[in-house]
Amino acid sequence: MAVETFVKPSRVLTWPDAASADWALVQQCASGDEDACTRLVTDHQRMVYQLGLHLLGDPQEAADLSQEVFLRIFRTLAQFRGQSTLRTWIYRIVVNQASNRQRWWRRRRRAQQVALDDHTAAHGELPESRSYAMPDQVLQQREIAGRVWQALDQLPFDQRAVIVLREIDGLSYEEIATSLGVAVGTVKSRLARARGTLRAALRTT
Amino acid sequence: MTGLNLKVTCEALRHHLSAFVDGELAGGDMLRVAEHLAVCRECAREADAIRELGDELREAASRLAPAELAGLADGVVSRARAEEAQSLRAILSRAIEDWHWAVVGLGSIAATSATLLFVSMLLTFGPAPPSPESLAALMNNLRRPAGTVILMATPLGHDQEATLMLLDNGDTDAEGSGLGTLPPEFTTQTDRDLVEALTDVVTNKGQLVNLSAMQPDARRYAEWLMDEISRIKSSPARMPGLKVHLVGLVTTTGVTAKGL
Repeated sequence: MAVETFVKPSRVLTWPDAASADWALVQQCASGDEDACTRLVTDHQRMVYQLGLHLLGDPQEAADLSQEVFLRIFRTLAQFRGQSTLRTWIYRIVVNQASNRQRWWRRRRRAQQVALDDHTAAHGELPESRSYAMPDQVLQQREIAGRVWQALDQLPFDQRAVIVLREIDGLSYEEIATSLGVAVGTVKSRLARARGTLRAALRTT
Repeated sequence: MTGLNLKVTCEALRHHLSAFVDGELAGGDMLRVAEHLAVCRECAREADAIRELGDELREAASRLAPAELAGLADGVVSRARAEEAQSLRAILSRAIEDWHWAVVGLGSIAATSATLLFVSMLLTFGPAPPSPESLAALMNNLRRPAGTVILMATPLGHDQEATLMLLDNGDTDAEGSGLGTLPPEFTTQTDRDLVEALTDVVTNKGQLVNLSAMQPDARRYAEWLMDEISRIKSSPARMPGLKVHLVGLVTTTGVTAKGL
């Protein structure tokens, strides 16, 4: 017996759909719709926080940055013309804010930097050193992650932003170019340099 | 990227390996690099290393959002609302501050305009004092002496006494002065008539006409009028029915008298 099956084609979200949805959300926020504002934050807060964390390397800094970024978004909503996606526009704000904050943070950290021995003498051992109780595999993963973070932290901010946006956030070259306000060729060369530097750093550690 | 040459060296090709791993090369170039990697073990290892680096980064990346993010939306929205209110209040405050100066400015402009309007109306509709040298002033002086003419005279008749009389020149408030008034039958208008006649002759549409520019008849008439006026003004006071003893002109500053 032949069985007829009806397959309902699923609706694929296309670029114009996403753009019009973004545009509608932005318009609602601009008109003072608080629910729309809350939705904009909840939809993007994870993305903003994680990018901030990967760019700055500090959870508290990333949380503060997230708040600054969304306030900045609400202050400049009128400037969003829909020429890029809302996501790319937000990425751009995050990178700019992180760049400003990172410069300030680096200066502050240099000024407050103390020798590890002095710190240990004053405050005892660092918390990570008590992780001997963890299983070997977890410990090894944490070690690798620590090395990656350290190597990432040593990269110039421009290269770090490019590699984070590509490898972790999965943006295309064009989206990265829009987010950073540079040409696609610049993205390509910065990414190649960042990968080379990062691999060399990880090989030596 | 333009088309890659198949004969390029591994070193030249490795500049494009990063874009190849990311799938960002054009279709033809993707194929050419893939063909090269199939035969070149060293370049293939390089491409794998790039992929592994990406895996390590993704592995190390945090995928957890901290608990602080739970209240982020509410905090940000309420702070944005507060900022907006603050901004509105500041705008309003600035506007009021500006309006204050605007009101002061408008008040000043209104006061100046009112003053200018008043002065303009005064100059346009108010009494314009004639210049002492003007024809109008001359005529006015002839018509109305600059003071009060008084007479000490005795009406002709039996047992009449000399009385101080006031000559009515049109301006005098005789009732308030306490003096007697010259009876109407003794008032002569002759000099006034002459002055008015002279005015008519020597003026044309309000402009003084030069005697030399007049017609001979009109000129002779004007000269005769002036002679008559001079004669009347300089002749002793003679009034029918009155024996005048004294004629005086009382001005605001003093009294001049002429004995007859």
